[in-house]
Amino acid sequence: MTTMTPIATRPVISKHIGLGTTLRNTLTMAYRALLKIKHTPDQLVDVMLQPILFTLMFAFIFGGAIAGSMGDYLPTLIPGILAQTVIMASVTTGVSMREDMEKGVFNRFKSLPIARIAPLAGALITDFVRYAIAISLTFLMGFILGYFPAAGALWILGAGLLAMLTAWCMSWIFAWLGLIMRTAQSVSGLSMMILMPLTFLSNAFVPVDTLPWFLQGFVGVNPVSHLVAAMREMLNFGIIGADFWWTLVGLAAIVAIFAPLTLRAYKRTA
Amino acid sequence: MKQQAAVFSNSASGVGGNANASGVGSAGGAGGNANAGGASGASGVGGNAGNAVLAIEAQGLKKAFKDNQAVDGIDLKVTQGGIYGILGPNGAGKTTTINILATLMRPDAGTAQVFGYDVVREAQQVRQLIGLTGQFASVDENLTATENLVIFGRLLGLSRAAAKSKAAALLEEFALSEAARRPLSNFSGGMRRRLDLAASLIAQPPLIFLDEPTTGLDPRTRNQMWETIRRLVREGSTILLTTQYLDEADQLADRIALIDHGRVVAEDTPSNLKASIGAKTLDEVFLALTGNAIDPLCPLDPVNPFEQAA
Repeated sequence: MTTMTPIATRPVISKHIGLGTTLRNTLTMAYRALLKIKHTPDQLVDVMLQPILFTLMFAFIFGGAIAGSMGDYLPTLIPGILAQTVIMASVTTGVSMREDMEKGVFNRFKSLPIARIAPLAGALITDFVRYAIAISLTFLMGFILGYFPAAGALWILGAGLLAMLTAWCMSWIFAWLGLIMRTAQSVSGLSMMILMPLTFLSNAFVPVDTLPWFLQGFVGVNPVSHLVAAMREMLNFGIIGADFWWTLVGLAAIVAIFAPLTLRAYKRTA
Repeated sequence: MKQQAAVFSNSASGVGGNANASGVGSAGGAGGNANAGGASGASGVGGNAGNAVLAIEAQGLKKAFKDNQAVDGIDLKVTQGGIYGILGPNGAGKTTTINILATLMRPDAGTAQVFGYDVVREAQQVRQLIGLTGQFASVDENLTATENLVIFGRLLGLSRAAAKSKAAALLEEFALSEAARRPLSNFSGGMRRRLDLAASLIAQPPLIFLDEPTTGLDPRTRNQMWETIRRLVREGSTILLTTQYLDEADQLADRIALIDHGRVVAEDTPSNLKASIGAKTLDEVFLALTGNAIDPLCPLDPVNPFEQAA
């Protein structure tokens, strides 16, 4: 190291952070999140165990009762499990966001001349890896039990992408909760409380016409029902129907509401 | 000083002018030359008068948390070069002051500039001139030492290769090479602090904030830390250091601000402070000015236990 000479006048530095720098900072933060997964793979356990356990349990326990046989239940069940899995996986964004902010390292990020949005944006990108793992595992479990979607490979890819998009859009909700709530624990607690009824009070696992009328009303408007129905149509019949578009509308609405809320809360704390 | 130049020009995308280590643009019409003949930085205080911009200038800083007035009208003037110590008991407002100066917190009232840049309105520029080592390890627990430094280097605009070699050089310098690939969860307190400090030096910032850098360290590690801090100053950095250890302030700082209940109660060189009261130790000075001992609950000061008796 050489010796610095004193600074005579205030140095000339740009205030502006360009798009290129923002992008680079974001990718670095995404890389950091990937490294964390590599070092503590146990944080993937929830993402991995859930599709395996739920597929097995539902297929063997309810298959006979609901559809007559396990094989007949799978075309209904797998899209439902897919929806449940990605939605549950999207909670992690908020939880890990909160955990990160509780640590000293976040203070250092705040004191660095980097794009403010990078830590958040990086986390949102890395979550795609999680979602991809969860979705692949669900399909894999389906294959093992004997479910080969009738519509074929391209439609599997399409439904997988829709599931991924859903998870990403939903993750804005939990990122926001992560920013405004005080502890990581309360974030995951509240999220579960919202998501459990939302996924079970849908068409994900049971035929809707067996439900009492007041639940049928709710199931009909539940966005999860639209997602599940859209994926069933894609996987089993290779069609894109009204439910697909309703799902997109719902997702767009979620992002339109929660992305600004998240960014505002983020600016205030970060 | 190449690294710093790289950092500056990369992160300030678009502004090419400022590739000079001192930050005095050779381009961009900044005109004035660094007063190269001036302070070498070793002695720091006093030698650095003239036209150099102040490293830190704060006027009337205030910050309250609910009903606790943590910082209650702090004024500071810190010249370039040397070590400026903020000494005070726990809860005196040291960390809050540093957090405001390092752009982590907005003050409720008052203003502060770092090298002439306002810490609120021009926070982004200030961040390019400072390094912060917080009281709590500001590194990633789950990652290895190398990964931590590489990520900070990348964030500061270094290329992958440059970030790697910089990380390796810093680990070598801080005697952490052997532990480079280990996750931090296996690190001792001293190793963590050293890594923390190393992370603040990637960009070789002209101003470094050290918030209680040796709290909780054993005497040997503390001495190593002191050596590192002195070396940084010899190389021309300005350091603002908070501490609750009297001997640390006495040994390291060229000037000291004694603070209590969020206010500066006295500010001078350590010897002048002692001379003004006719005291032998800084604790006597503090006692005379505030009626309280700085560190009454911490008799375990490992370096000079006798000072605590005052």
